[in-house]
Amino acid sequence: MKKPILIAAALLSLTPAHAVNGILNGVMATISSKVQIEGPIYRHDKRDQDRYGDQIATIILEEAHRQAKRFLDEGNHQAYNAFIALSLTVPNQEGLMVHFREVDAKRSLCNDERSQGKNIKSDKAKRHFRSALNSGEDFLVPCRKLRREKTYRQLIVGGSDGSDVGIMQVSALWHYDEFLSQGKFASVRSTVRYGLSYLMRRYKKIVRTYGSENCFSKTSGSADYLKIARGTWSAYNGGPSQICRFADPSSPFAGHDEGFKGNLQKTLDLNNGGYFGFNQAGALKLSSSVQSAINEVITNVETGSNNQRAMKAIVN
Amino acid sequence: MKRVVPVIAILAIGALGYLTWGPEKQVDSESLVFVPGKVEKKVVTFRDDMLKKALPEKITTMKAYQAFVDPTLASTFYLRDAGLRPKEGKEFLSAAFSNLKGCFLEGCGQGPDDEGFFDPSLTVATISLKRILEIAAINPEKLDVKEWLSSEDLVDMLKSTNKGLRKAALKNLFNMNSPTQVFQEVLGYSRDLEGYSAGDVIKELAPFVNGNNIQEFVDNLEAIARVGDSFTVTEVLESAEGVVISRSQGEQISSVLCRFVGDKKEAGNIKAMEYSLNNMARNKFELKLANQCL
Repeated sequence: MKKPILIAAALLSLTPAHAVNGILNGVMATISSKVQIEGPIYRHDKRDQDRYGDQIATIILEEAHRQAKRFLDEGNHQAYNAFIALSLTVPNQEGLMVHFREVDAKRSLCNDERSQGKNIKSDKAKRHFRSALNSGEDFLVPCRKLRREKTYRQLIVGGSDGSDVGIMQVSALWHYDEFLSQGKFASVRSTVRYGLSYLMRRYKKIVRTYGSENCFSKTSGSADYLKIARGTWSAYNGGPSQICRFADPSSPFAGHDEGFKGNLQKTLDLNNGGYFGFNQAGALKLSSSVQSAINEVITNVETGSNNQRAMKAIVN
Repeated sequence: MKRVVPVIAILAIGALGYLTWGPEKQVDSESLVFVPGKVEKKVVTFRDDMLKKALPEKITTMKAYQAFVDPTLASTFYLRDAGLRPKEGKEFLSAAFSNLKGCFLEGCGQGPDDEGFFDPSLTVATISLKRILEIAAINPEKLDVKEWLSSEDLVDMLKSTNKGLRKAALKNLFNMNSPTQVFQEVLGYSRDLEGYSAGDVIKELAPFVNGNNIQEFVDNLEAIARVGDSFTVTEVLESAEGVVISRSQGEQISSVLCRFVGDKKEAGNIKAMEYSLNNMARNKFELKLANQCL
């Protein structure tokens, strides 16, 4: 939840579609064939990949709506729409829109070090990672346990020290009890729900108090919801006290915040010929209904309008 | 001929294995969720590591401690599944609570990680206190919680930024005192809380509001609304939406909210406050702050 796969993300915009899968090769850990998982699975270049974009986008939209509906009820549609846009951005920033992947069972695609958290720098994080993912009924397993499989199912792990888990890159160190030990990573929806819930606690507080900070207002004094979205991610990445980090160009994490700004812009471009997912070449397909809902949200964010028809068709 | 049987057997086992563990089973199920199994091999967690630094050695060598740091042991079944006598559980939990309660707000020695991330609501001390109070709330008699938990300490826990800890503290308060006592003590204390903490307390107290104490409750909302920041006020009013108020009570609360009206930065919060007040009015009347504050 704090260390996006930034290096990969930076490369993504420069790479062709097949290279996207190559980047994923460097951040995926292999799941036991005996455990059950829930949610869409990314299958690169497979026929059903076409469904994946819709599936993951729908989960994000539904869960984001669940978190933000209160703002809509209050009549604060700007806060609602900006949170939906933020929610579409964070899984792209953190996990390249992938939680689970399935690949052909080639030995080169199975990495024991990653599955066993051997390269995690922090001993503390390593202990939590292993306790949740490598003990008891193992979730992530050594390659030798998968010799007869035709395919591997994999979970994205990573971050700068390799201990962050899933599409929302939830930190093994900080979210052990509330997330990892409860096995929520086995479900795409549970992972998205947990991450967005954590995000909302920061977001809601900033929306209510933006006037008391000097980094969230427009010159007119009204709320700048895109800045609020950026501040929310700064806090997601650095902790609750870091809400204005994005506005500090001298911050040691300014690169992280600039990376997020770029991904937020990708989300905002979605209603203007932009792509959903990693990069242009590896864009995930969306059905017209899901694309319309996203277009509607982005247009609302940009113009201050409040059209809900397409979104309602998805979340109701 | 002799070789046929093992070949068939191997094929059958292979087929069974494939059906059981093969990719066909790896469907996108909506109903199946992995739950980490019982830890068979000892894995030292960060919680273990941190608590060993924060607690005296005498405590961390206890069997009850080992069960406490076992992440697979749910709070619900702490005593039973760990095979602990209540006396052992009480001895450990009371000592751990006593050691952590004074330092949890500062993290009990835990600071930012290597990447600079720090969230006080997720420190080992906070999560451990939450677990202690969850276990205490489930077994109040067996663990003699009144002997080692004081209302004063529990009320202090309401300041925590961890929602689960606040909830567990309130549950123990209700276990240890009559609802009337808790209502009065905590309601008064809620004026000293802010943001989510204040909202959570009001939400827990709202079900205990009745004809006899509703005015006291409304007076308290007014007191918070009079001085609280807009985040605290919106949280508290949202949390009080389960309570039905009269027009005069609605006007009593809204009269002190006029300080927010006209401030452009509070426009969204005004909407939130009005929404909550009108929910409390159950559509019997409408409160519009702009009209109230003329």
